[in-house]
Amino acid sequence: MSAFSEQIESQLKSKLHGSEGLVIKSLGGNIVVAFMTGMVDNAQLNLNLLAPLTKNDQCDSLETLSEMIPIGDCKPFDQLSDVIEKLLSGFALVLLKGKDGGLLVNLANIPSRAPSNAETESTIYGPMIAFTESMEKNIALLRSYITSDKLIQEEVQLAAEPHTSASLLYLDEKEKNPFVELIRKRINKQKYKGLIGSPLFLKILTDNKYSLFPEMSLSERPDRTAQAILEGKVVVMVEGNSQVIIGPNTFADFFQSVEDRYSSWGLGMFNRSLRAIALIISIFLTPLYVAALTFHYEMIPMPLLESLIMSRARVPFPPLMEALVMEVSIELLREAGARLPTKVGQTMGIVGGIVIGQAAVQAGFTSNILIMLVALAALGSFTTPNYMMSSSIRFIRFPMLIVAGFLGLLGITFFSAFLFIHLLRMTSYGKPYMYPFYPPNSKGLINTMLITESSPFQYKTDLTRSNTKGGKSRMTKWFKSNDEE
Amino acid sequence: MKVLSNPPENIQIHAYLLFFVICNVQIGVGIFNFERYIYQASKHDAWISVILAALFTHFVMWLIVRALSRYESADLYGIHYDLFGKVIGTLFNCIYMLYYLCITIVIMRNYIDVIQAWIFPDIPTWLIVSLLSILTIYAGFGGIRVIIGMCMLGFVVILFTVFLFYSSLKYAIWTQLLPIMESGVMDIIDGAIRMSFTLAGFEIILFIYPYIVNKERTMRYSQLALLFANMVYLIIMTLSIVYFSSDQMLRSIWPSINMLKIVKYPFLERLEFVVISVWMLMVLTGILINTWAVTRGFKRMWNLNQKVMLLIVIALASGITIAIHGHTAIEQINKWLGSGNVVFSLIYPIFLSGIVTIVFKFRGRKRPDSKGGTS
Repeated sequence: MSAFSEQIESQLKSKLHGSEGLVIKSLGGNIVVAFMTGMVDNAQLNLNLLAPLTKNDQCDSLETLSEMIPIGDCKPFDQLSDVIEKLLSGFALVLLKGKDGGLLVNLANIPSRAPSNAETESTIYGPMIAFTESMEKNIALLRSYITSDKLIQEEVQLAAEPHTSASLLYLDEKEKNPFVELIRKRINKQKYKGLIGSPLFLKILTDNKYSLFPEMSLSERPDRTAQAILEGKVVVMVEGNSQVIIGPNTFADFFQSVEDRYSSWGLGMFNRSLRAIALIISIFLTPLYVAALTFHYEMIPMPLLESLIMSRARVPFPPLMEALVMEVSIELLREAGARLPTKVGQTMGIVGGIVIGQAAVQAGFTSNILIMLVALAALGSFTTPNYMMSSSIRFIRFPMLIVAGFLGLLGITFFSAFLFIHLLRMTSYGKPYMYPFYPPNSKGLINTMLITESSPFQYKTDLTRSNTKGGKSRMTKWFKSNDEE
Repeated sequence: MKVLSNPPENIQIHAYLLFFVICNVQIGVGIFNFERYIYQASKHDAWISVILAALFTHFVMWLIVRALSRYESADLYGIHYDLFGKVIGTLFNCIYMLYYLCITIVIMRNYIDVIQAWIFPDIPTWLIVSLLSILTIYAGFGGIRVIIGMCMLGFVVILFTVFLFYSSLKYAIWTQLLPIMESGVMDIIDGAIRMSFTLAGFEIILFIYPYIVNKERTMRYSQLALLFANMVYLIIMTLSIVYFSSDQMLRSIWPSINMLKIVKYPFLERLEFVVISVWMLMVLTGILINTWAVTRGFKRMWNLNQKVMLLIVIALASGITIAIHGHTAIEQINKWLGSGNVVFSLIYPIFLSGIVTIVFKFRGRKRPDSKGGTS
């Protein structure tokens, strides 16, 4: 151990506050290599860094040192205190006696997995690959879809504790991307703590944190992400997260699957309308049942009413209670299934669904018809391709159910009106959330509802175009006037 | 206060959105019972009255838009200041604001009346008032964009409702329209005047005009909206003439709702429950636009915060609405306001456009450089 290496060791140790894991390797008294154990690739370390350095340890400048190391990512640095974070993310430091600073060599080998199939957004056609937790790999994956110099990757400095690295990805075009500046501003608004995970990151980017519906979507599919970038949207990638944040999004975007575009226009349209119907069913079906049976049984025709009454004859509860019990048990099943390992979860779904359902009817707890409606409503909510959106939809069913139980159809209208107002008030990165329904845009509507064969890829939409003064765009500027800090 | 009003660019709207706004102010809770009032006057020639009234509204709209286009970007509040000076202008503005407050109250109370008669006989008035107030405040705080968005939704509701009336065609006896022109000309005109209660509201354009980006298209879309609303009224009027016998018509309080009773599907009947409930959206847009016009007045004249004023206006309207009891009282108020409607939405705009024309002729001769009427 040379005096130089001891000096470096004590310096680094104090910077790390005595934390273990630091390895100091002294080479011939002049050169010292420091790295964190377990975070570097040992084979590379031995072969490409230590081996050439041990052979000629008599060198006097950083440049010659740098030439000796056969590793691409090898940069000089000035201050030891600047590179502590790099050291902690898997870089090796090479220090030379008598010089300020040293070399920063990238040997990082953070544990990561190989890309696998997309699980939360599975499709039948199209690419199967999904993002992983490594941002480098994710960007590489994305670049393989958009091989263009126009795809800009921008590292954002986040004032967070601990440091989280994130990247913005967007297309560089003639007109400035209006969202990049906004995102930068929001990220730097305050010092955040513990921003681990892109869902948390998404929260600091939202326009209104009290909104019931997600404003941005999370995606793990590179093809979907690439498509969004081509549409002019901005993607935020967070290190250590397999899900990227895509924004701005509209309400309709959450109901579109990449598969719609892969299939023929008729099939795509059919699937989208199916999802729209599923949305209506999952929100309104059980509340309508409750409203009709509590207040408006005149509305049900005689033949149907008879079977309804027959199935409800043994049920001692009011319809609202009956429906709430069933809805809560479905939610319990879903939550239990999500928490358990896949194999157990499946069994539990079957056991819970069939046993509880069958037994509840036989015990006179609920009616047959209600079980069917609740199951249909749950099924409807699962057709939404975006999990965040489908959770929101399942959540808003409960207040809807309760107002339906107290005020009947009037309550349903009241809560629907409330939701509509809420949706109309919502913005995503300052853009209207209900676009292209409001502000209406016929072209956008056609692209949302039916995918015409002539325009399968409508790259730039009105939503992502920046509105210049007197521009032709029909959408007026919707950036909130008071919100923009 | 300035005569011209230039709202910030980010809340300006395109002229075609005006279509939805005017459709919504034109078609409101009045659609449930307007047939009987007209039928009382002009019997089975009521449809001619509707056409007459409709043509008149088109004419008045033409006058209003022409008068507005003489100013660059002014609303009624500014025009009053420009024409009559500060004191009288303020007075006139206050009268208009009071009128819109009354309209709000009448819309609310009429709707609650329908609900109490058809769906929930025992529901307390304050409950529905508070539901409507919550929605009004929530949407009103969102600003004009949200209000117009709700109007678009309301338009969809109107479309669906009109299609529901299709079922009554099966029971139509078309000979009930004959003989044409059996009632006297005076009766038909009387019917047309009665129609005005239902047709009022389009003068809201006097307040929205500054918000329109492409003002040259205002005329087209406002007339189209009127055309749509008038067609809806004409269709429903004609349908109720051929559907009801004379006696039935005069005895039913809400003929449109009675007509919806026969709509029947294998899984659903008595659709009037659905329509009355969903009509809450139409009532809501009416309240929203009217309260917006009132709060806009506060903002224009005294620069008061529109959100705070909305709360006050809603509290006031709710209080008065709750205080009105019984169907006869509502009928009485409807009658009073019916004459108010004729004045505020038909006669006064004609008068106003006349004054604007004369004043601008005079100004044009005196100082041709000051076109635009800034003072």
